[in-house]
Amino acid sequence: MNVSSPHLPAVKVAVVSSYTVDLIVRDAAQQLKNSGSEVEWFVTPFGQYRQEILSNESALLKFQPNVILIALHGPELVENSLEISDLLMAASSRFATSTILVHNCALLLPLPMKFLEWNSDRSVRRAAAEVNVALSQLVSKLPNVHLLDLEELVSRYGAEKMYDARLYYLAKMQFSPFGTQAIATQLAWALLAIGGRRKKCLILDLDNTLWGGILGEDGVEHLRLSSDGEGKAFHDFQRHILALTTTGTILAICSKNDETPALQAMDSHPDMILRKEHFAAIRINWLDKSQNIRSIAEELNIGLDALVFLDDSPQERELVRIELPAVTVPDLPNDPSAYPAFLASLPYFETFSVTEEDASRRVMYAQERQRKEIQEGAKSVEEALMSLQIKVLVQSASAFTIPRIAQLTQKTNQFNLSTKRYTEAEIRALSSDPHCIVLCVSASDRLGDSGIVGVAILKTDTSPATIDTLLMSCRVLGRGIEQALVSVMQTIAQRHGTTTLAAEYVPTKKNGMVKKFLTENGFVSLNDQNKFVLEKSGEVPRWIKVQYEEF
Amino acid sequence: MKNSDDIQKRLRKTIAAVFELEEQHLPEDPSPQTIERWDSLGHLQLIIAIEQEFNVHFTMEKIPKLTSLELITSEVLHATR
Repeated sequence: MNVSSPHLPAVKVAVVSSYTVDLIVRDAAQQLKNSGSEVEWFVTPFGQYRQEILSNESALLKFQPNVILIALHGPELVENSLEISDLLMAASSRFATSTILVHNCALLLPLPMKFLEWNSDRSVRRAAAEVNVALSQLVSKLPNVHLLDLEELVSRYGAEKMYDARLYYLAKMQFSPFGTQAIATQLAWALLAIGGRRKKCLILDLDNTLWGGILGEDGVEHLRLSSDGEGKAFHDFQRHILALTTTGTILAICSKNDETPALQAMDSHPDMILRKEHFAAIRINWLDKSQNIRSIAEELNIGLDALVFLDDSPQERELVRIELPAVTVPDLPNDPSAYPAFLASLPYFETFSVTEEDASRRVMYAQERQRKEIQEGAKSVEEALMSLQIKVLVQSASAFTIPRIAQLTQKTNQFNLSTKRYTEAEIRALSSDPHCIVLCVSASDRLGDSGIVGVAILKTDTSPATIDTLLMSCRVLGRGIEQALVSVMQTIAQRHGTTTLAAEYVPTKKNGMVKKFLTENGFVSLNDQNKFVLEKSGEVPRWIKVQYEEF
Repeated sequence: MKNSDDIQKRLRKTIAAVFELEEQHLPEDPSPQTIERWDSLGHLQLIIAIEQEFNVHFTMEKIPKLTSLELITSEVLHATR
């Protein structure tokens, strides 16, 4: 598995099952280890899953897992579906701070009456499908429980290939070595997705990647790109890429071409699906690609390790890999007909939930380009900021905002005081803790709504109160929103009887800007250079209108 | 007989890899008695690795019986003949 991403913090993963999962765990552990992630594993004896989940004395409870995988035989899920629904509900509340993954129902054995199957009221396959629908509906109501699609793996690779009857009868293992590996890979990627390690931006080449042929040589009218026939492979590829943007992936172009004709081709070719407006950054020039990719990362304010680069040229790919090893550079297949399926097979953009910000990220980046233009055209920074009419709303965490709050703690690297990463389940627990205040800040202006862009977590059971987390998305930095947040945070803390706030700056390679911010905004450092105290914060900048809830 | 020597050599390599041992530290007669990690799970891992290495398929009844280098060698010989 090729994950050149930052490491997961050491994560505790437990597996409870109705069959022997040791080989799956061993394989997943190896893959995660190779990717530099530290995982502590705990496997309960097979068949003990009920006791492990329900007992107050269970080893599972003592282990305090961050993630639990519940892996049950398909037939068991069908036969005991009601009881297992109850069990999942119990697991969701008993392990409220854990993320729980559940394999959905897959049947591995061929049925003796295949013609009769879907034509009978006793159809096993229909019952299995109904179980999966019921599970899907159930987990949509349980915020910390997600289905892991085992059925998809079995239908993609085939039960014959995934099942090994010998291992089942000898050791209650049921999966073949091939199946074991497929399941382990899926699990490893699921753990990375839960840890917020998904990639943020897909950078695309144009010639022979988004369309067939070379624009500069063949001309726009001879490009292979159509809604029918051979050129449909590129059309479908683009459609798949567009679908990624609805779950939060942003797009960029990096192509060696003349810019004007290339942009014209993008916006005028009748069968292009991706138009200029879909890209957050565009580099069409004759510069070195690694140089362009670096400047895309700077423009979008995201790390190189959050980028995936697709290009049909093996030479270009190799150069980028050498120059920018942090960028993920998969090998695009030689045959364009394989592009759409190849894109679908990439696990980098997988996620278990889509926040509102994910869904509208593309539009927000387009607005961001406009804001930059306004700032560049204005006489002074302040004039530009006044003209934006910025509004800021500070709210406490709620069911609607928790997914985005967790996402920000996982993704924000630069303006982040402590870089503490939290899962949704953990944020939920913190927000219901009476000694803890979880705030989020949303920003909007006359160009549009940026959604939730900042988070502050205050712990009030210490004296003075401690700022556990203070972070702001780098997209909105430098407009005074971070000053506004600190000011509001102190007002809210005052209502809880504490004026002074303590903050510990935890330095990383990327968050140097926080220290500078603290020293410039009323925080005083103590003997220990990274420990700060705030007695009186600055005012909210006058170009910002702040609203906040009663806390 | 050369064939059997060759198989033994590859088997020793596979056994060493599965149980994460240096090949030169492998006992003369590798078996569940002489290798600590060769327990019931380790046995299945080894069988899977051998099947992949030699592209052979052992029956359910055979698998538990293949508990020494000698036994595995003769079974692999038999299966690849």
